[in-house]
Parts: sequence; structure tokens; C-alpha cells
Amino acid sequence: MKTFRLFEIVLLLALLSLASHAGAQANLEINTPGIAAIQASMQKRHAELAPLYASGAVGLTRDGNVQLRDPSAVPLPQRAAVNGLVAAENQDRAALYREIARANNRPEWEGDIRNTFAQRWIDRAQPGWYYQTAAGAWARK
Amino acid sequence: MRAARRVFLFVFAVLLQVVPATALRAQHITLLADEVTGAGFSAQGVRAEFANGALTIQVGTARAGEQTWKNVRLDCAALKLERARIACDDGAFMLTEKIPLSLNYAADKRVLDVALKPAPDETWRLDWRPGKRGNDLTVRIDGGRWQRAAVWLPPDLPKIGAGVVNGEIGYSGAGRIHAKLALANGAFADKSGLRAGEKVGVALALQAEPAAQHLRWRAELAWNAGEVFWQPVYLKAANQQLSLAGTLDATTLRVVLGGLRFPGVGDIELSGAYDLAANQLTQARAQARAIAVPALYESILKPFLAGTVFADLRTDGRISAAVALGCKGLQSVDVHLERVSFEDKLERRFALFDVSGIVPWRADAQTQAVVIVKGGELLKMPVGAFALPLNMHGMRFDLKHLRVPLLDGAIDVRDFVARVGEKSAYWQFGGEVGGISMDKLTAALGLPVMHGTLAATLPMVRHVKSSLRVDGALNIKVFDGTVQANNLVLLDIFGRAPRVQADVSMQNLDLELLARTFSFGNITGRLDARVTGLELVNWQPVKFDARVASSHGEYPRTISQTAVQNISALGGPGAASTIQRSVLRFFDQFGYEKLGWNCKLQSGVCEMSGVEDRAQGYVLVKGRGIPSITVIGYNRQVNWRELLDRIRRVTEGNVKPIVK
Repeated sequence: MKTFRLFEIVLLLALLSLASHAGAQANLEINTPGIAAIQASMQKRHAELAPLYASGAVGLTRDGNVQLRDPSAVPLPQRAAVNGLVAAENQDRAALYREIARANNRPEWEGDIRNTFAQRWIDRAQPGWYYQTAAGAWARK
Repeated sequence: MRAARRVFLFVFAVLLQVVPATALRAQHITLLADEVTGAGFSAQGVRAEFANGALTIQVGTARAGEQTWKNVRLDCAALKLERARIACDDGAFMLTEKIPLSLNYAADKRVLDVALKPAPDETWRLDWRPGKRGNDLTVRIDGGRWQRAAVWLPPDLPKIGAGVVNGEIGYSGAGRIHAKLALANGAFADKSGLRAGEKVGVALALQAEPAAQHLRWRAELAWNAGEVFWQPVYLKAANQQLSLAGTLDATTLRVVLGGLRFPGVGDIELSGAYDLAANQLTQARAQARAIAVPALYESILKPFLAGTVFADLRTDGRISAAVALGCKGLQSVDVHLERVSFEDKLERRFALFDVSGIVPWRADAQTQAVVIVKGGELLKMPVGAFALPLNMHGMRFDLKHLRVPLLDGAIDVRDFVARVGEKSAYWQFGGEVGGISMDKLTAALGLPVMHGTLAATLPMVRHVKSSLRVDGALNIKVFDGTVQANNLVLLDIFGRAPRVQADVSMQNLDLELLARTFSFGNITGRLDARVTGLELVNWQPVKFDARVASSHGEYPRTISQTAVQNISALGGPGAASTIQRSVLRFFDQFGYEKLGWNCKLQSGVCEMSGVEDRAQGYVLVKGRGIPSITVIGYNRQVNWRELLDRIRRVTEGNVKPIVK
């Protein structure tokens, strides 16, 4: 439940800042079946990703993705699965940014949406999680 | 390391053979050489100095292969010179680090023994002595650090982190080479951690001897401990053995007979040739017989299929395969399937049972695959036996006709053509679906049971990038009428949010069948519908303009009170309560002239209208005859999700209509 809330908060905050970015176009469409499907898939995966964020194995990148930053924190037999998890998460994240842009008939916003989300994911990360600074270095919250 | 030792040996040999023993007793000797070269190595700026019992040999630049070392140095503070022996007990060899060294030369037997001790538990012992033909050299490694091999490996390979090597490498003057080495606790990893090994144990045995024009060699490699993850494959040591035998000459490394034994999976025969100058594989063959598909799938294929619909299968059967590569890449693939079965384990979306046949693919010739499938399942529906006569020519594949029995009908695929390019793939086909009874289909799909038959014509289905386009109309016969889909496009079909676009029209649907199917009450009549600009995301509508209305023509038109209430409920609670309070509640059936409902869905809101407008509302059912009823809707706008909830409540709660 906690992870669910976190996801919702990030989504909301990201969208609020997008709305202000969009100026007058504050009426952002975020309630589409496409976004809902991606969101559900990400929420489901978050339970598996959370311990990896906590251990520092996976960190949040500055471009709104996740990355296997410390493979040694993952035993070899699990590394393929974790790598798959990271790839699937990034696929969903890309789909989410694209879908929000598409749902609002502003495909050109995709890059801005990604940047806004990148910042929000990092702002809302829990203490101990790793994130990439603007310069590309890893830092711990 | 090895080259440096050779430099050292060379210089030492010069010292032994060139300098007469009497001279060694002199106080001070200096030897200088601008360049010393040998097979595969060179040394520049060589200076050997003997003064007051101390020997120093310096090499300005030593090269071996691609490696270069500066200031290589050998020091022996107290060189013992005896009649039959030259010895140095505590010398030092400087390469990249200072390595303690001891050497002993027995002049009578002409045996040189050198021991290098880079670490207390690491010894490299060189033994150089006259053999049957020329001198024999043996290097014994005891506790050798595997990391020392790193300088000889290509830089794009993972970095060696740990590992201990024990064993022996020998060279005889006759040109024979033998090696018997064992690696224990080997560890390697690249920066991303996606190519890594831990606690790796490998045993290597190598033999080589000169033959007429080349070197004949033989190697046995056994992997006996540890684990390796090489994205995406994870393997544990299970005594996998690779044995190779071949030849080596100045231009080509050749494997004549090779075999990979993979316990639990099977044996693979290998052969090939590698052009050393061009640095490329010029020819290779691999062949495996009767490999058990479950073992192959679990240990090798599964990681490659993660994230696809084939990620979690139950498999069975055997497969034999032969692959040949040439300069231009893949030349041929021969696959022989023996009763291979696979099944989507958890979701049961698809399955094929008892697939047998041969697939003889050639890069530059036309061939035909003959594959027989005994049966299968598609979305839990039974699929009958079919044959797959696939024509292949390089990366072009075509199929004249394929008939797949499904339920009590069949899917016919005609003129299937696929082209697989380096970056993209394209395929298209036409065909038809016929004779599948809707009762069986809807029951199998878990939908409300519908009557009729599914007969669809697929004029042309094209797949480009990740979209699927249907040219022409898709026709379905159902509810005694027809449903036609035009301009059907599926985007991102395998993505997280697949999109479907289409225009759909329905003609002359039997309302009685339709209403019964969806538990909507009793309505007799006929219905037409036109849905334009339909857009589904994740199989849910996000946009459309729908116009549903009674068909033209003469047919009985009655509507039950339950149905009236349900239709009213769609427009909000207002209309329904009017009926309940009126005298009309004493009647069960009403006549009507026409009924209709329009909805323009956009941004989650459905803009509604009916067959005609009224003050502040619109007519959903226009009455006719006695008793007749007219249903008027007042809500022009309704939230789509709320509307769906209402429909769900209506259809679910309608098993027992309450009439007051």
C-alpha cells in the first residue's frame, strides 16, 4: 500500500508541475486506460524493485530511468532477473511518458514529461536510495 | 611476463655462452646491445654489467607481442661463480613490480633453474635443460595469480578479479608444446556486472606438435566449479567439457574436430577456421543431435526469451540442429524436430503439441520446411492438426495456404509473405475465418454466450514495425446480422498499452438475441450501429462516435418493462422513476416505433443524444401502438466510466427485475 501511495504521489506531483509548465493548459489528461495499464504494471513491479533501491543495487538515473548501478550487490544467479526487471521498468517508464504526451495530444512534450518525472522520482526517493546527480555521479539520499 | 622471461633467458644465455669463464673472474665486464630480437619479442638498449661479484642486466624497452615494458631489470647482488655452477640466491627481477628471484646453473649438465617468487605463496619455476633435440623448457606454476594473464587478453573482455593457477607448461626443442593448467577460484566481471564469473574452476590440457606444414594441436577444457553470468545466460559448472583438435599455421587457426559436452543437455560437435590476419571466423559448423528440448529451454533459451510471450513455457520433445557459418555469415541451418511441444504454462494463451518435421534453411537457395503439428491451443480453445509447408529463400519466407482448425471451424491463412531485414521485419497475409460457432467461441473466451457463426474475411493483414493493419473489411456474422470493421489498425500490439483504431458498422442485428445475451430484458426488433473513429487503448475505448438505431424495414417491435427501465437507467435516474410511478407499470410489453442512442466519447466524457431531440432532452425510445412508451433522456453528458458502471449494474442486477 505504501508503495502504491508513493507512486501516486510522484505521478501527481509530476503532473502538477507539468500542468504549471503547460501554463494555461492546466487540464491534463492522466486518466486514460493506457496510463492506467502502465501504472498498474509499474506498481506491481515496485514491490520487487524497492529492496533493490534500498540495497543500492539499482539507482534512479537523471533521465527518468532506473539502472543497475552496483551489480556486486546482486548474487550472480539473480542478476539476469534483476536486469530483466530494470529493462521492463525502463520500458514502462518510456511508455508512461509517451502515453501521457499522447493522451494530451502533445507528443512533443514527451521529453519534458520525462525530465519532470526524473526530478520527481529523485525528490520522492526514500533515504538510502541512490540517484544520479545532474552531473551524472551517483549520490545517496 | 613470459616475454620478459625470454629476454632474461636470452641475455643469460649470452652471458653463459659468449663470455668465457676466465672473463667472469675478471673484476668488471660490460656488455651492450642496441637491439636483440627473437621470434615474437625484441629488446632494445640491453646492458649487462658484472662488477665486484654483482650482476645487473637492464633492458630499456622490451616488447613481446603487443606488450611493451620499459626499464626491465635483473639484479643479483652476489652472483656465485663456481667451477661447475653459477648461482644467485637472492636476486630480483624488475618488471612492473619487484620480483624476488633465485637461479642456479649447473654447468656440467647445462641445466638452468630459475625460480621467481612474486608473492610468498606464488612461484614460477623455469627449468631449462638440453633435450633430445635442442633445449627443453618447462615452466611450473604454483599458486600463480590469474590476474597476470590480463595483459594478454583483449581489453574488451571482463576484468579478472581473482584466481589461482597451478600446473605446468613445457616446450621441447623438437617444437612440442604441452600444458596442463588448473584454475581455481577464478573471478571476473565487467563494469556493468553483466558478464561475470565467481569461484570458477577450469582444467586445461593442451598439446601441440609440429607436422608437415603446420602445428597440430589438441585441447581439453573442463569447467568443474563456480558460476558464470554472461548476459542473459546464467550457468553453473556441471563438468561441461570442450575438446578441440586442429591445426595452426601462419595464417589460420583451424578446429578440425571439436566437441562440447553439456551434461543434462547434450553434445555439440564443432569445427571451424579462424583467419588470424583478418581476425575473423571464416568458416564454422556446429551440430547437435537429439537434444532434449526442456533442458535446452531451461538452461539456454529461457533467458533470451525473458519479457516475451515465450518467457515461461512447458516444453517437451527432442531437437537436432546443424548450423554452418561462412565468411558472409550464416550459410545454413538444419533443424529436425521430434515431437516437440510447448505450452504457455501459466496463462495458457497458446500451445502446440507434437510438432515434428524438418526445416532445411539455406542462405542462398530455395528450400521448403515440412512441419506437421498434431494439435494445440489458442486462448484455451482447441486447435486441430495442421501442416506448415513453409517456403524459404534466404530471409524471405512464404506460405501458399495454411489451414488451422479452431473449435468447430478453421482459420485459413493465404499468401503469407515475410521478409526479415537486418533492422526490420515485415509480413503480410490474407485469409478467412469460417464456420466457428459463436456459442463455442464466446464460451471458450468467457464471454456471454452469443449465437451465430463467426465468419470473417481478412483481405490483407500487414505487419510493419510494431503495427498491424487490416486492408479491406473484416466481416463477422453474429446475432443474425453482420458486423463489419474497416480501417482496422493495431499499434504497439505487444506493448504495455496496445492501441486499436477502427471504424465499425453493424447491420440488422437481432435485438432479441442481443438483449438476451447481455441480460438486458426483452426487446424484439432489429438494430443498426455505426461506430466511427473508434480508438481502444489497452482494449478499452477512449474515443468513438457511435450511432445506434433501429434498422429500417418492417419487423415486430416490442420492448419489455425491464428493458425500458434499463435503457432509462443509462440516461440517469429521472426517467426510470417516472415509469415506476405511472400506470404503465401494469404492463409488461410495450410497442415502439424506433429506438436509438448516440454517444460521442472524448476525454472520458460521453456526449449523448437519441433518435430525436425534445425540450431539455432527447428520445431514446419512441413509442407506437397501445400500450406504447416513450423514454426520454435528460443527461446530455455522462462520465464514461460512470456509464459503464451503470450498464454493469443493470446487466448484472437484471436476473430478477423488480416491478412495483
